[in-house]
Amino acid sequence: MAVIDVRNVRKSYGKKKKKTEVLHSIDVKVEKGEIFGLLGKNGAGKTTLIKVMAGLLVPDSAEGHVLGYDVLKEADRIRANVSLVAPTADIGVDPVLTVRQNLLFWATVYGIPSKKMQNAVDEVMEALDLMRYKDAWAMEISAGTRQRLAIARALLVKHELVFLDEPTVKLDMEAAKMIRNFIVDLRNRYNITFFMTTHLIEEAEEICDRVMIIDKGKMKALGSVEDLRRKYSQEEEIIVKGNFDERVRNLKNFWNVEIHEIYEEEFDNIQRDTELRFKVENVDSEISKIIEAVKEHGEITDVLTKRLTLNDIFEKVIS
Amino acid sequence: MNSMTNQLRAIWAFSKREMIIWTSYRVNIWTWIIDVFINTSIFFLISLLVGHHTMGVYGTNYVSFVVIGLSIYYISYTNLGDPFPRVARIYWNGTMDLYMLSPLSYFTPIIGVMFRSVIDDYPRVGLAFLFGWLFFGATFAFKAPIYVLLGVIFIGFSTFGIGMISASSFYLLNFKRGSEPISFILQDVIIALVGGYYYPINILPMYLQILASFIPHTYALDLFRRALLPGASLTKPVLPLQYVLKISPLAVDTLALGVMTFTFLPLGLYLYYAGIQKARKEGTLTRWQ
Repeated sequence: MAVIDVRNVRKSYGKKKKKTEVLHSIDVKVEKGEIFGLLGKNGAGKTTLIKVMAGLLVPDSAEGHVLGYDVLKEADRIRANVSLVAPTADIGVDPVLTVRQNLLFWATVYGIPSKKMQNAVDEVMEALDLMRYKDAWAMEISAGTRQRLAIARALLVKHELVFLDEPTVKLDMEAAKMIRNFIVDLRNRYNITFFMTTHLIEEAEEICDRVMIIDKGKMKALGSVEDLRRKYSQEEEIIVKGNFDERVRNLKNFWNVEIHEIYEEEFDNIQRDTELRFKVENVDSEISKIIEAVKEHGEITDVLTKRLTLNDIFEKVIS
Repeated sequence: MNSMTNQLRAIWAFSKREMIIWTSYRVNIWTWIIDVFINTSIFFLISLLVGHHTMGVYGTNYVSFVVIGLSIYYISYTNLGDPFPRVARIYWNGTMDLYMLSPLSYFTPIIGVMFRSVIDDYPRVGLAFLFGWLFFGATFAFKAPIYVLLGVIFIGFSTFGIGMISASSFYLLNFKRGSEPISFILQDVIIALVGGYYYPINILPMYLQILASFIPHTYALDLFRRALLPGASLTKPVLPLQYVLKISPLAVDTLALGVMTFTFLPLGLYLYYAGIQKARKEGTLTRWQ
């Protein structure tokens, strides 16, 4: 059963003449245990969509369920059963409490029974490598550690569904990488469903099972990174360099290939190479066939592949 | 999970958190004690001017009279004045969404966060009584304990109800700049003028006495002064409503406080709930967008 299955989500802000439509009939379906990425530029409607699905914001219209609860009629039950990590770690983290005190406070807020509270806090501190900071004031720990504390807070109750709104924003590369590893690890260990927004395309590419790209409140693309790559794949390339005979031009009968003569100056000699640029739908499925075919026409000196990144897809979709 | 026990547990967690924060500023406790001492001593000095004959039905000891005024002031300052800035704090630090994503009722976080002021202000009541009695000659009686108990409950809840009406304006009327007119008009204008913290309201012109009839402070102060001050009358009417209703002044006070409690408290809670629902539609629960 899908953890999130909502359709026709519409939301606008403002009244009458000043009304701005932020979400235009978006559909979202997320399966249990998925890490689902929502990509979009600033103002695309990412946070609004998260807030609607978390039951924090009343949409203009929507149908469907989150965790089996009706997205319109049972928003209070949705709110009580999902967790959320806000874009800045400071939200929900009290700077003059220690890491442990912060978590104990939230454990009570989340209604964890007194007898289980210490264990729950210790478990998330272990999972997020916070034990060594347990007695440190939150104001004294780094931004990355505070973000882990924010995630630890959200995981105290082991909700099935966790919304992460730009979880690595403001973090350096190393801290961001650590957070991403934690998310994947936690999904693998507890089968938690993560719904995350991010500006960082490479982040989504690295950890998301599927992504949705939205722009100005409209869905532009949806699928796994591989699906999207296939869909927008005309731009993947296999570049083969070497010395080939004239018959290499016959490969044009089988592939979409551009042939360039390249002259490279090396010491006092001018080296002449041929560069074959094969436009393919999928690098992985074509590369061995192309190499076999090219080898029959001469000596290969170099093979390069130019795969479509999610960033390329994002730019293409948005443009 | 939405049980009363869990809401109370959460309020306890909030109060513990606020206590930790409050005591982390060690100088707090000293400024706090000195502040109450200075306040009480100022009124002792004024009492030297006032002498022993102007309190009318409330006896003759001005320090005792003012200690009760100060006590109601401290309670009102928290219950009436605090909900609005606490909602603003929750909004500006972005935690309203997080509290909403928990099994807490809409009201638990605001009551919990108010504990910062409860810790700060409620013990001042005890200190004011203590300093007044120890150093400035205040004396107290304990003539009508049931009325006192009801008075404490009603003044607490009625002022909290007004405080919640004020807090609801944060979302209902979008007063997000740190101040709003409801608590200002009530607390800083009407109550400050006609509440009777520092003087009996029967010295005011009749139209101000009638205005005073619409605030709970008037009845609470009358009730506590009659019930706790030696020499105060339990039978002689002072307030306009006590002249109208031909029952004991303490009963009038209790009745008026009860009516105000059962009016302001549900109204405040309802308006606050409506404000949250409005914010959920407009996307203005927190500043985090």
